[in-house]
Amino acid sequence: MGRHKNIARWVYCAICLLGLRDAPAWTFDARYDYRTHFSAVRDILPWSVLLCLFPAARQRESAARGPEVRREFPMTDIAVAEGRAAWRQKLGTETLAVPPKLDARRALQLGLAALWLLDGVLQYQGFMYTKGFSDSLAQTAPGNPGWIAAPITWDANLVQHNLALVNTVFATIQLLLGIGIAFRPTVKAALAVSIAWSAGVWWFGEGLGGVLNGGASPLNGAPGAVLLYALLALLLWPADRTAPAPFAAARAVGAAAARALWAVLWLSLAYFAMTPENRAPQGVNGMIADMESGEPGWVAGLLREAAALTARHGLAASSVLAVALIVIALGVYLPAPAAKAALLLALVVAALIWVFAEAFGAIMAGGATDPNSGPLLILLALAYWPSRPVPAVPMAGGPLTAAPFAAGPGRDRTVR
Amino acid sequence: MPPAWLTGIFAATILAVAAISAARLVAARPERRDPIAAQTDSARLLTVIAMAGMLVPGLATLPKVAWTVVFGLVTAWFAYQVAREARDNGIRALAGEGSAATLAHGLAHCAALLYMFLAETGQAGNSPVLSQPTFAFAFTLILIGLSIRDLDQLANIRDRPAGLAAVTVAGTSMPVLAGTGLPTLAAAGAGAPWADAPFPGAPFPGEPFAGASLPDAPLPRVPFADAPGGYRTIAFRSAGRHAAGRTPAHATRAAGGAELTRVLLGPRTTVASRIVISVTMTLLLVLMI
Repeated sequence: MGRHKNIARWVYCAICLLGLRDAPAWTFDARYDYRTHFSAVRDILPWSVLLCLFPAARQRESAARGPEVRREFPMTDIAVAEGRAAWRQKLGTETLAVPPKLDARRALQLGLAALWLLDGVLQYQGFMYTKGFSDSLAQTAPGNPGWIAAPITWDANLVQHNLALVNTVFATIQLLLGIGIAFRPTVKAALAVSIAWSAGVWWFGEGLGGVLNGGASPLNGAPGAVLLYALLALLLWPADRTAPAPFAAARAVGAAAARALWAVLWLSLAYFAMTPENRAPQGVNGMIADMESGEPGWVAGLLREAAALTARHGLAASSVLAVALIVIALGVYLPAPAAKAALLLALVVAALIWVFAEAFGAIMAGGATDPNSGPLLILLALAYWPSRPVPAVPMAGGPLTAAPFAAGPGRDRTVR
Repeated sequence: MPPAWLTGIFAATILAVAAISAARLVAARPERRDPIAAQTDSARLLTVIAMAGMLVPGLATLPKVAWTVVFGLVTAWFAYQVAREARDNGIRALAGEGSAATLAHGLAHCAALLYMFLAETGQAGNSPVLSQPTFAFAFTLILIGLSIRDLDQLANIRDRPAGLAAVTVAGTSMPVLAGTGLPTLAAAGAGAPWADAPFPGAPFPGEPFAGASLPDAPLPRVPFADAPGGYRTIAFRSAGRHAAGRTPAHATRAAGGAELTRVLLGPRTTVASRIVISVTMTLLLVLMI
């Protein structure tokens, strides 16, 4: 086999492995005699194995989705030039995989993916390649117990001495997490890695979100925005423990565990709202006023209004917030209509926090590393929204079976 | 700005998209192409060239004013096409997977780029800065949404199965399962340059192919308006098998060439290109806030 063909084949294999297309037909053709056309069987064998693995994985994914539907597309006409009679050609059926229905959990996974993607892109900002970034990491250490603070300081030093490389790796990992969650074949792997990554960042990057040093507040992203990424990854894990689940977050871990996680999170937020620092007369006001710098005029105006409203009313503002958070925490244990009201309250509170306390994650001011906790709390609340009950379908004449099968080279699936 | 080597990597990535867009324009013959697909490919080519110049100043090709005019016109064209699609097929068509979605993506990309050219006010250090960062934030969210949606669909977009073709001549549909050699590609008739002579029949499994008469002309490409890529290539595997009757080398070459063209013009390439552009443009916006 010529050298150029060999190179072409390698490139082709790489494209296939990247998932940009199906594996070439000759990979699966049993009648194809490789010995005739390739100099050595050992040359093709490893690639064939790899190429076979990828479609196999995709078939599993496809089987999990259920049977696909054959759809007909009209084809355009072709007018042939050179004075010949116009030749009207139409293709018949075009077999394409119809995108599976976007269920609530997949939609939420995509929301999570979007936030990871935004995180990754924000991590590439110029500010992250300056000493300011390593300093911001180091600032999370003070006030934490020694065994928590020491690794944070070590990490900050590591980042400072290898700033460009380490930050690029951080940003790329987060970008890939977003891509991985959005790309269906890699969703499980990406969610698993995102849980581990979030735990690491929560410790080394956020100093446990200020939970142990008294700096945590629901208004500044407590208990650490990145912890919410891990929680969402866990709740949106593509597995079904109970069927039908009362809400999307219950599908993977069960309703009881999901409700318990929700209650712990929101009750902890209520607790942080009432810590001495946060209920101080100027506690809430100071936190909001600090976000004003660098924001566009209209955002700064909103923050000024919110700061003026809470000036010297820190205790009242914190108390109202804490009560709302407790209602939200316990709301998921109530019957569906009351639970919906509590979730609606959660959506409103999360949106208010994101706009008036977090200034949209300070993205417009530049230098933000993530969109902060507001959008994550919104996603979380949506994950607990009660599902519509599935109507029972009467089966006449015995149950029908959907039998997916591999139908030749196209590997189409047909309902029998 | 991040290190020059990093922006260089991103610039190289989108220049690869430029090369793909150019190759698509070349590979799809003018007389057989969907004009919308050609125009979106051209716009994509312009977009990535302009983006490369923003990421790496050394790659800047035209002055800022010229790019502003170009993208003003292209954005207006996309806006017109999107409005027409929405009027004809409903607003939901824009969220679908056909050419309407391609137009919507093109509009978002070109409008974001136009904003960047219009709002670039000066330099902070060695980095350009955008005025009205609210628009940058809004475009960032839109582009991330588009790229996530594309990524979600990428695994489900499947090119036409290589072994299956179906041809209708004069209203009669004749499916051809070329991989198994089931009945025939009767694409005879006047006109098609690749089908000057009838194609008598493909062999049944295990039967040596003895059919004749598919000329060595390029394999047919048929514009496929509903496909995300705008193009569809019918990969008549039978042609490869026809070649197999001559020499194995010819078979490999014919099949490989057809497959590569199919990949190039296929919807997956289109969607992958859109994802790269969306993510890189999001990065540009965030860097310039």
